Amino acid sequence: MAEIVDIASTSGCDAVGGVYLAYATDASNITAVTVTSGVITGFTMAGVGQWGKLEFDDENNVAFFNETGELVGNTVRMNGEGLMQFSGISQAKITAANQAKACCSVVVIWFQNDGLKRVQGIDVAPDDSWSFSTPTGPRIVPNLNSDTGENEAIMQYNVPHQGKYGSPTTSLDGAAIEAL
Amino acid sequence: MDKYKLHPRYGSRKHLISNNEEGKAVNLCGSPVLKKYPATLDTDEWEETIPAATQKDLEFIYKSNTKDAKGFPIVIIDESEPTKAAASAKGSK
Repeated sequence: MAEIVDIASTSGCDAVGGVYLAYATDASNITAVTVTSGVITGFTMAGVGQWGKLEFDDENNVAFFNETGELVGNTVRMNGEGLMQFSGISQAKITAANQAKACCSVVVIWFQNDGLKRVQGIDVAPDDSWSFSTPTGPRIVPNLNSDTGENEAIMQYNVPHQGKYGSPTTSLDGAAIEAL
Repeated sequence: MDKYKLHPRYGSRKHLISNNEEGKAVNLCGSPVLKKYPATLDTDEWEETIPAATQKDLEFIYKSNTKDAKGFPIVIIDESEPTKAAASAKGSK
């Protein structure tokens, strides 16, 4: 289904960037996914309470979820990278980071400041079939930085992945995700 | 009216949690599940029961085209249960 689709210019000037919240789960917790016209409208989980809510302490607006296309041979791969930042370091945060990095592959739902919610770690094909992102599912790579006395100590989660398609959106809101 | 059931490939599962049409969590495996919430700085520890999916919930999951990573549906029509139309047709013979 190769074609060039019309894209009209955007009116207004409120296309704000950035992300402020994420939910994440080990990819192995997801048993099934519902896709409607490219949008993820449901997850079926292997257990209860398996989505972690990650609220960023992000006064400096450093959090992001970016995807960059790359031509590899004769295919276009999408390289994704997300960054979330939390103020301060504690044993609880160190333990959380150690548990997060132990996940071999994760799925992350990024809440953008413009209202869009995007799902990193799931490739949705044009026919609405889905798979976990290949060739490389997302992993959480933590940083635990004391930084210098001029700045604050921070913990960061970097989340890189490589997929076949741009990360899809989801219609699920925070309440629906937390209900699972 | 068709009846719906979990696909037998997931028959040994105890938990398969999904949102129903109203956005509420339900267990597709047919039994209620206790969900516990740990205490936070603002709230005490608490728990709630996630109900078993009803036929209406299973129908919603089936019709919303929910599939596993291999592309198989997780909810199917229960062919062992004759539909009312089929039963009445059989009865009229």
